[in-house]
Amino acid sequence: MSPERFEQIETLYNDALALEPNARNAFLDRACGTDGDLRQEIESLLTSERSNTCLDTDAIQFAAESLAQQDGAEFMGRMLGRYQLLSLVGRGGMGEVYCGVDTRLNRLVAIKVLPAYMTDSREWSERLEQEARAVAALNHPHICTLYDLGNDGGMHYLVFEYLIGELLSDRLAKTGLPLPEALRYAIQIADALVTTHQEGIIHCDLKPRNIMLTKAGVKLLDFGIAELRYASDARVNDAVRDSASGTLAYMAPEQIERREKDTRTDIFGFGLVLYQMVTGRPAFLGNDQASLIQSILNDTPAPASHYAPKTPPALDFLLARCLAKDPSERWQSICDVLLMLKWVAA
Amino acid sequence: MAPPADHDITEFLHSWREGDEAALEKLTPLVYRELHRLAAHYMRREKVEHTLQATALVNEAYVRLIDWKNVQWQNRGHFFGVAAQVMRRILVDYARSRCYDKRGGGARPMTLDEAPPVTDDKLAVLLEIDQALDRLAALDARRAQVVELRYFAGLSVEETAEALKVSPITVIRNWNFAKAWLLRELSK
Repeated sequence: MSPERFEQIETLYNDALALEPNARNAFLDRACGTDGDLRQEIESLLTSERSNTCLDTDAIQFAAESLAQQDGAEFMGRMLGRYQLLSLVGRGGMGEVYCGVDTRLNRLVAIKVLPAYMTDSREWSERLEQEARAVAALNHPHICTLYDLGNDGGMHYLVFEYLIGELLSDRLAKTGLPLPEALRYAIQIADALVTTHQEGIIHCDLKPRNIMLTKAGVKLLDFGIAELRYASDARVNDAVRDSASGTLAYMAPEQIERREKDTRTDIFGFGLVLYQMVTGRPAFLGNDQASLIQSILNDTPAPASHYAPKTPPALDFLLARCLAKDPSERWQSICDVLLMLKWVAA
Repeated sequence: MAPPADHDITEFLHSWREGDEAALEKLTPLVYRELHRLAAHYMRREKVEHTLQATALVNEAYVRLIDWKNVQWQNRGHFFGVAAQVMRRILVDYARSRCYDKRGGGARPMTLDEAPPVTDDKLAVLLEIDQALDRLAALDARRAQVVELRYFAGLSVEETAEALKVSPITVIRNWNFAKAWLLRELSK
């Protein structure tokens, strides 16, 4: 549309608007003549609401009103140490997550308030502190940084880097990932795992919901914290918790069988995430907990190329070795996985 | 938190205009705190209280964020424009993060993986407005700017006129038209 045409439409629209509704037809007859498109354009604009529309409330007011209505609004503004809670962004067995402001450094943070059962024994709060210290030392562009661990009047909380992006799980629910994008993310995830495994930390809860896609690439969330949870909440019914958390589908056989976990557990988890990124579907499915467990323990997923024909054979091989039931038959080190992935992606 | 002095905010806006994305991170918490302050008011507000007060509060929030009146820029119009873009970016990022229920540091461990993401109608509308505004800008940059200044930065007709160096009447006509155009887009 030419600028002149735009100008013309605007002028006629405003002129028509200034008239009584019943005088508009005659006006448009005169003004538009035989130009039917022009007339239709103006008529369709005239049908828009003119008062109390979403544009009559400033954007900030609009956002604030929705903030006021949201879940957990009663916590807003509350201080935890030097952090002010601004809004609740998630709630779950691992506690509640808030968006907040670090009032000393003036930056946004994500604050996870831990449930009492994780922190009420002295042993556990010590272990938490120890673990948090190790995770906070991780410095990697693809890991969501843990900034701080605090305790305010018995409320324990973890403070993380605040990220804007989309969870991989949400992305996968909407659309598939093109292979090059899936490989790029996989390389970033593997790279992050190399660093953490070197530091002796296992993630143990790799799943699309723990992976955020940001402008700066992938960010792994909840590093090392899962391990704590497994160890700490023996009092909570495991099966109920795991299935409710959506974690069950992403567990390695040794986790289900409560055997020893090590870095190869993450390699299995990595394989599940990569499989789903490439094929768009989880490697293991079940109608209920029991069938899901059976499937993880016994089924060999179809090669990724079965669902995504563009998958190169080398990637099928890589995935099969990630997803071996017996840890000793998997890749033994994430470094090897990373090298192989880079080769596939090249 | 001691709020950054006005000259800091101006400085951040300058840096952001020069392409320093990190400056946005300095401004974001300020906007969020004003959002929260307003929201806290809405929670307490009783139904009888009229909108005049709400409007005053919103204006106050803007003044606290960016004291338009006292800004000493060689080009106030340009300053308004940059501030409006920043407000738009921050509010849209906020809406986006809320609509997808995205955030740092946390899984949503209690919900099933298959559960739909938490969405918020109001904020979804904000995102739609943002996208429709991009389409308007592709057709006509000036009218899109009017919307940015009025809607995202809360400028009055007169302030918008000053920023764009046009008459208030022109702003009103642009605004009427842009609003109708955007609302039609939203209803498509």
